[in-house]
Amino acid sequence: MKKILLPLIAVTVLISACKREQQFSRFSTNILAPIANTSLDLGDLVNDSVLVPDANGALRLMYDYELYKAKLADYFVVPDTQRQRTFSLQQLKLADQEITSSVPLFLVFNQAISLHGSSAPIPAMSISNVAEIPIDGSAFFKEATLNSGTMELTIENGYPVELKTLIFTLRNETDKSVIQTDTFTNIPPGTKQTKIINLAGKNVYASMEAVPQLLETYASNGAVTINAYATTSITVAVKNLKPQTAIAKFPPQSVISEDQIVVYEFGGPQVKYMDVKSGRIRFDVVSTVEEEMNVDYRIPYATKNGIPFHETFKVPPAPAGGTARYTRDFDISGYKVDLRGKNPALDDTVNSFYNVLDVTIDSTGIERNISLNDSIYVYLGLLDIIPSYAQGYFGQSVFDIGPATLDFDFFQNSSGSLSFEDIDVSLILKNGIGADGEVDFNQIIARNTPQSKAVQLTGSGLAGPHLLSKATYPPLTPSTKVINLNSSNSNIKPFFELFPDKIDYDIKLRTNPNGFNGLYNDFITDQSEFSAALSVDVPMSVAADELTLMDTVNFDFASMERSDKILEGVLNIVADNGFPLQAKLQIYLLNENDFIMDSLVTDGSYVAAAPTDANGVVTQKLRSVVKAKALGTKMETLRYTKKILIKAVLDTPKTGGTYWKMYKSYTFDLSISGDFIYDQNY
Amino acid sequence: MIRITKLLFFVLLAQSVQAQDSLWNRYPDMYKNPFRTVMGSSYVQVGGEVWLNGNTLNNDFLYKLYNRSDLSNDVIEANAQKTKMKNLVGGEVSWELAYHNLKYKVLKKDSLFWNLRYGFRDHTSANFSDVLFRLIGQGNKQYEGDTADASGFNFIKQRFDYFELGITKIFSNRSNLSVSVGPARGMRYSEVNGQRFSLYTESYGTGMYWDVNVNARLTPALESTLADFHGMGMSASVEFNGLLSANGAYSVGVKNFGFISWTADNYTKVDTFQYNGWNLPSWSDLNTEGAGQAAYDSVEQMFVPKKDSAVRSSSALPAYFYAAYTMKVGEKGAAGFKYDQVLFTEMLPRFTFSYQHFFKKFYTQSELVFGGYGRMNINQQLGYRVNRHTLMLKVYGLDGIIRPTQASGFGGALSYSVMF
Repeated sequence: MKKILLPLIAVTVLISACKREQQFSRFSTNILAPIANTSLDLGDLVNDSVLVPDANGALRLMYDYELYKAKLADYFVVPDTQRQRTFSLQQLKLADQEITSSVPLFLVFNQAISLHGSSAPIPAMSISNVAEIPIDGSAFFKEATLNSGTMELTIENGYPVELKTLIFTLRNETDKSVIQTDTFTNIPPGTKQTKIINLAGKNVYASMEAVPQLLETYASNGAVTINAYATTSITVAVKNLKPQTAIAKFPPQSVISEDQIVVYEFGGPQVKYMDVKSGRIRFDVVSTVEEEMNVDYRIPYATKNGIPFHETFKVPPAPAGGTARYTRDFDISGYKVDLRGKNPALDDTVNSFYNVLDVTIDSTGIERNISLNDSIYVYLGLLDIIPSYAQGYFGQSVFDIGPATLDFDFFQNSSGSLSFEDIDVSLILKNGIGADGEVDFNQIIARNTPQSKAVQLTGSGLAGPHLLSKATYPPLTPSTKVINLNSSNSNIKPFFELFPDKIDYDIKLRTNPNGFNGLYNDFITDQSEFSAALSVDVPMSVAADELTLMDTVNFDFASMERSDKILEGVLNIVADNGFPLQAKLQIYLLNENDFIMDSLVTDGSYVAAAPTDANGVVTQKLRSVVKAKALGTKMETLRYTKKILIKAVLDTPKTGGTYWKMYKSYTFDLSISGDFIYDQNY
Repeated sequence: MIRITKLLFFVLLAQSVQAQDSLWNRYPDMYKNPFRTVMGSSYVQVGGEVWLNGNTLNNDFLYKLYNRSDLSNDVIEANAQKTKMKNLVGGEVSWELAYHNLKYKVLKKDSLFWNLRYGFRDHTSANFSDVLFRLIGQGNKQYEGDTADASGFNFIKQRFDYFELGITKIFSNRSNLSVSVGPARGMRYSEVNGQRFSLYTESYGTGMYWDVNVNARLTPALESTLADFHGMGMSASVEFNGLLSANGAYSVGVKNFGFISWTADNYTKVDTFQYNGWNLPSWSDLNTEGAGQAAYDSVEQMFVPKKDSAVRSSSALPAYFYAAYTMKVGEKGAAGFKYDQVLFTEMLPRFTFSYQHFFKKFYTQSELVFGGYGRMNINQQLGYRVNRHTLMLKVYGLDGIIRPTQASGFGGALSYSVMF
């Protein structure tokens, strides 16, 4: 068995030992493959430009830079205006009231009832303990301290005898305080006598009593018909009561009535009319009055669709000892406001906002504790007013446009020299305000900060002042002033050929330079603007001398799939150049900190300029191949590259012409291919 | 390490009838040789074989390719210079465990015996052009400004195992017929066919123009164990051996004739397209995050084939066909001529001239082989028996071992049998 087993085991071991481990065979191949392609025209080379072909297809570069723009809010601001007043109750009054009490005969003549209906003489009487006659004024007030007012006491004798003497005391029933004591004498039967009592400074309560201190009568003239129920009436009438303070049911009455003129401080402009685009009137009322009040607010000369502004609202009663508050905003958008005062046709003033405020108390029939010490605090605010139109005279103002600096990115990432055959630049001033203006250019300086060079724009074309006529309305039509700068009236050519990256400007704008014409016909609308712009019109007829364009692009080689399989290689940059521009290309490898680690183009190859005819027009594209080599250590550097910096140095030919026109048809076709050693495995 | 597989087919060599009869009788796996006079004992045999050959590629290349070693540019260039318009390469790894019963009769018939075997084969076959070899091995840079036409390549690889139950009928005139049949189980199938495959590369590589019609069938996943499979079929083997004269015998047969029905993924790429790189509408697109990956993705997308998953299709097994004639030479020698071929592959007919000589305890067999996947090879076989144990060792491509850069083809076989 062993003899069979041993060889069998040996063979099995051999079989299993032959089992290969999984691995890959490697070999390198030389792959030539396209990577990317693009076609560039002049628009891709120059930032944010507008290239416009002329009739012959030659390009003009036209670009507008906004130097300054100001809108309505920069010139005319309606300030928030607020008025705060505290009104005390101007007048307070209680209702006139009249109370009548009667004293029948039998109360003063004991035998009257037994003699009632008969005829008998009545002797003279003198009574001193006549019962009090209650006088109840609770229907009108509870108590009051009076500033003024009167009480009329009228005694009408209904007895058949003459009243000789009536000493009469009127007092408060609660504390028996005497209000008034008076004496009536000699009141014949059927007649009355009135005495007026001044209540100023008196405290009266609703429950009063009339107390006849002494009642004396003459004897009758003989026998008279005895009517036991004949009365002498006592009438108490209170009139014109004006309390200092009272707890009473107040009748309806006006507590505040006031009109006012709010004068706006516009800081110079004199405005007669204003259309409100948006804004609000805010009322904030704080009251100690324990009665509900009506507030009526009017702006007679603010109209919308012909209807003046008029709002009413109620202020709730204040709690006892406390205050009530009411706040509300009213939208006055769309209103046309006449700012000529209370009587516009007559006053014809400016900046004056006339408004009327009335506050009244409605009688609720509820007893309220009100005094002349009560007050109403009214806050009236004209807030966030933005006019859509304003007319008047806006005065002579000076606006400084600058000094400021404009970032000029036309030549972004460029350096070197680029000459233009001609440059036409316009300063375009637009006045959207209804007032004449005048502009002075104090200075305009082009600066090339990397090279620390500057050129100030000078020339007869720039010299001012430059008059700007006012805009017209309606519709709003700005006036435009174009100041043309070219080589004959300025140094605009060296100004631009400096390759500025910044332009400093300092401009002055004056309104109404000729002063006030007396007509108040200046205007401003919410669409009004003043703007200053630089308009560049450059025929693309150029001469480039080492014009350098640079751009940085992200390029993370290591993150590309299977980039580790690329052992080394060469980038073929195949350019079919349709421009009369020669380009030297360089590619720099940057790390994540933008540090240049290495460059790829080392053999000095360049992209040749396309051939041109006698007129300087390109006849056909010319192919050039620039090789960027990533071999050896450069390949290792490429693996750490995070960005690449592409630098192109452009030159126009030095012979055959000075300036070379660029045409719309010119393109620069670029193909990038890789010729690399690739690590395959099988 | 060379895998050892069971020899599925063997060269029948014979000694002279009388004094040499005992030599043919000596080795158990020669029991079907018509020169054999005595039926032997039953025996169990296990053996394996591995070989790789090509008609243009040298052994230096083939050996490194087989072992997945690094291939240097020099090796690739040396072989590229040898390639022609049509080049073949093929190989096989196989082993088999068999039981040959020569004792127990089938249906109580005297000359009817049964046998069974279990085996494994992994056959690879390819034909390709010199252009394809250069294109894959060296890249397309050499074809700058030119068209690389690599059309007409084919690659097929089948891995399967089989279990056959057979019956051998021994005829009185010392001829015999063996028939066996059984299931075959498919493990891996890979076929790539390129009817059209050409690439034009512009100068400086600014553009590529592809014209492709390539189809592939691939079983979905690599099998991790022998228990994974992706198809089932049938396998049959037939063999007849007979005497033409007292000193001449012939043999003809076919092994693993059958099919497997596979579940494979079908890939198709029929297209003519141009690739000029990633088009940048604007220079600033380079600055876009992921620009590089986008460029890679755009390339990959262009080359992705259409895929139909889990398609059922059948393929014929790489059946081995042979016809051989053996003639006794003297008392201890025999000369032979064989024609064989692995059918349904790229393999060309192969012609083998052999000489076998018997010694006391061993025999040797030397072969000169022409054709197949290679050009010419020298093989050497040695058989050794001690008591009931027999060991056979064969080396393929002796010339290739000696001169690896000039010759191609290598391999070996090893088998062991024990009688009882």
